[in-house]
Amino acid sequence: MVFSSLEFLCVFLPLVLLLHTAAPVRFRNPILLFFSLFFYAWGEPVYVLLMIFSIVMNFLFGRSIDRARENAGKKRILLTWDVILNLALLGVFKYTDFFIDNLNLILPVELPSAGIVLPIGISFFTFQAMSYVIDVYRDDAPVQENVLDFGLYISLFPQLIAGPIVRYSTVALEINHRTLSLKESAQGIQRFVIGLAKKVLLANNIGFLWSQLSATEDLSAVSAWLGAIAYAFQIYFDFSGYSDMAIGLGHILGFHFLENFDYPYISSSITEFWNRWHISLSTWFKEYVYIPLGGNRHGTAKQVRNILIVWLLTGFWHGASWNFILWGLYYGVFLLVEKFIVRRFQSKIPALFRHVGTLLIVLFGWVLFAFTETGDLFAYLGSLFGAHGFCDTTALYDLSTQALSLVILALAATPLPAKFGKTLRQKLQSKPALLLILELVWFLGLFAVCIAYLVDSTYNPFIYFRF
Amino acid sequence: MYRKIFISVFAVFLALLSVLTLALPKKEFSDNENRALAVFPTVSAAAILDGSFMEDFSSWLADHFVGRDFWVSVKTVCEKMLLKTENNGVYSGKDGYLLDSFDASSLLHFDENLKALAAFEERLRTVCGIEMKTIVAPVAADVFADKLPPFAETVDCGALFAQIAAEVDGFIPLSDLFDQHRDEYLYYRTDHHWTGLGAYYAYTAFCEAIGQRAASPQEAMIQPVCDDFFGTTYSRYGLFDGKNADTILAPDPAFCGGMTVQKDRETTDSIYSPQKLSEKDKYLYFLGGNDSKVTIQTENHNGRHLLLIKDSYANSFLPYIVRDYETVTLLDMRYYKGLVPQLIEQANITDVLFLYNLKSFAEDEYIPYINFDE
Repeated sequence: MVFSSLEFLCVFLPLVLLLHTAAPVRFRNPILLFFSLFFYAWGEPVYVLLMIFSIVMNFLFGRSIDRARENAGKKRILLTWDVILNLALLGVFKYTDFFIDNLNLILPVELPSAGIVLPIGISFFTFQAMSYVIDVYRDDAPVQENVLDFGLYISLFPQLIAGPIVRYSTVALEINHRTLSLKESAQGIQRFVIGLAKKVLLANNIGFLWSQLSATEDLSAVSAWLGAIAYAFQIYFDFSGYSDMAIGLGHILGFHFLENFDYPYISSSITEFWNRWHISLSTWFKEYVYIPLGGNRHGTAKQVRNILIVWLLTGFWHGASWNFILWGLYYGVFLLVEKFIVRRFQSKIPALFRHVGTLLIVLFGWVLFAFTETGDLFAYLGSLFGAHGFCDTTALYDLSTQALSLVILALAATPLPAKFGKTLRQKLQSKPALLLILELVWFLGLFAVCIAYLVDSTYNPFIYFRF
Repeated sequence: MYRKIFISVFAVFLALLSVLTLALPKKEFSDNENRALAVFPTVSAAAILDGSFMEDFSSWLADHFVGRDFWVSVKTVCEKMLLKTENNGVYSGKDGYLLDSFDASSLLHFDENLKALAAFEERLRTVCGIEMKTIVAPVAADVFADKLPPFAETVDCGALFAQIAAEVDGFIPLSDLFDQHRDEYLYYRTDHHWTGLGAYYAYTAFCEAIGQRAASPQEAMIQPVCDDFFGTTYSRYGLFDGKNADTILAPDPAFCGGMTVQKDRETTDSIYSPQKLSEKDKYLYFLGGNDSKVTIQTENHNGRHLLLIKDSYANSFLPYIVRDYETVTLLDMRYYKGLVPQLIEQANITDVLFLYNLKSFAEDEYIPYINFDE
């Protein structure tokens, strides 16, 4: 199930919130676990067994590692096996066909493709499970003795299919001791509505333009740039919208997840961009790959190696295709250049140039990210540089009809709306009734418009007569 | 206290949506979408395991969502406020016109249809000695291009017509004629069809091509039969504001003369179906819909038997010509599964007219079936 669906908003969510709030505290976790598994099974009725397997396996490894705390050698062997098994699960279900396709390029025989469909969210829940076992190994987190509570941590529906990747230590306490409050619920509702609007109103609509343009051949340069910008907005609002919804739902249910996005498009360097984009993933790779590899503690050569390994893996995590690996390395190289070269004279570059330069690098990054076929990628790059003319009527039509949307998207990608909301709240502190009315109009209005767009997406007039 | 109110209002709103959606009686058919709405899926282990139950449940919930048409119009209003001029493939144009878009993505089958039509025409001429006539109706987005929003693109229809004229003998061009009358009510504002007037001009061009005098509008007694028609582009655009209703014009039944109309499932004595005027899709006034094959026997005994291979544009054209033939046989190739050459022999066909609008001629995948003879 996805958040941006009528069945989630109008059937699943009211039911789970009602039961979770009304139930005695000791029933809350079983209720949440049941609904979380149901949530996953709705989209993956078979693979839910895979997730349950992953839960039980990592639960047992975590407990065994905790029991072996006095025996460093045994602990290490257990951890190694856990990591191998987790990566094997990910490898089989996410990367099998990628490896087969590439083997076919070098082998004299043709291996048949395995045709394994990617289980939704496997990259997220596998990484969460690994973070738990590693944290227990390092004594960074307490062991969880109840398999149902551990299952809740892995399957918790707000962050299950699109993150953020929640580290066990973040929610360890709240799994067994969380409080629900009106203040948090109200904030959670607002955060959820903002996230839903980002996904349904901003990402989906501009994504429609991108899907049209990316499927068109021989785009003019203006159209191609418009398309790339549309895609950059789509991917940001889609992803950060999901994180907002997860964080908001967490608040309503009494959990506090860490922020996952921090206005990445206002960054003025690539380093800053990655401190603001998908923070939970960067943190994961830093904590569980970069630092264990030695980080920056063993000289420049090792540091360069470690950075490239981290970015190769980051790229590969995003998808089983070469363009994602390239995309990761692309960022690895820019980060190295920034770290070792640009940093010396960074302060001398005017802020505007730094900002525009960063956005251009990110934009080309997204073009690389978008096309899994090299031919399509080069065709699109060609269009960007004017291989099919500078501008045409299609471009003018799209520009004229999307102009207002683009202004709204650009504004929404900055902290300005949040700042405006904060100022307004402070100004109206003495007039709570007026503030309540404004908040209701805004958030309920946004929610209603989201419903309208979701209903409309299934509106399908059939032009021919019924037969 | 204020937080409590905020949360309660949200809770009540959500509860209302879900309870009303689940509890209210369900409609079986959507007039605006012109399709049957989803029925509640049957629960079975297989349907749950392959996920089809969940998909069907989603469709069912969306199809029966409380206030469905209201939500659709809310979306359309938002799109308008964002200065978007198109919604669901329909442009909001000048003078209240909702124009069906016609872009390159519609040209899927144009080339093969043209080839099939040229082959069919040649075969009729050489084998059967019948000189087929072809009318491909211009589309509103082209004739009324000046009513489109700025920069909205339409396929180069002139080039398409030139191609048809070059390859098909007996093609009757309408572009210039329609262009001369572009200030008139040639197309519905809220529907993708031509009006009774557009069809009338096509009729005059047809008469000229076959060397016959066309009846004047007064002789044909063209009259309005209803003035509250909201058609397909209105449904697709989804604003539902009740403005710019269309008037359906048609020749008086007396002009058409007496006849027997044999449809797929019924026999009547008129082209017109007045009972359809009380339903949503009032264009069904003409012939009551699209049957695979309709045979009309008139009171004219001149020995001329017309085969009309057509889409729905022909339905409002038919009243002008029906009285000139002893029989008219209409075939809708989307549904007709018989063989056309055999039919021509069996029905003693003397005249053939092929009538499609340009968009359906470019999109339709069934036209090549006209050549199948086994």
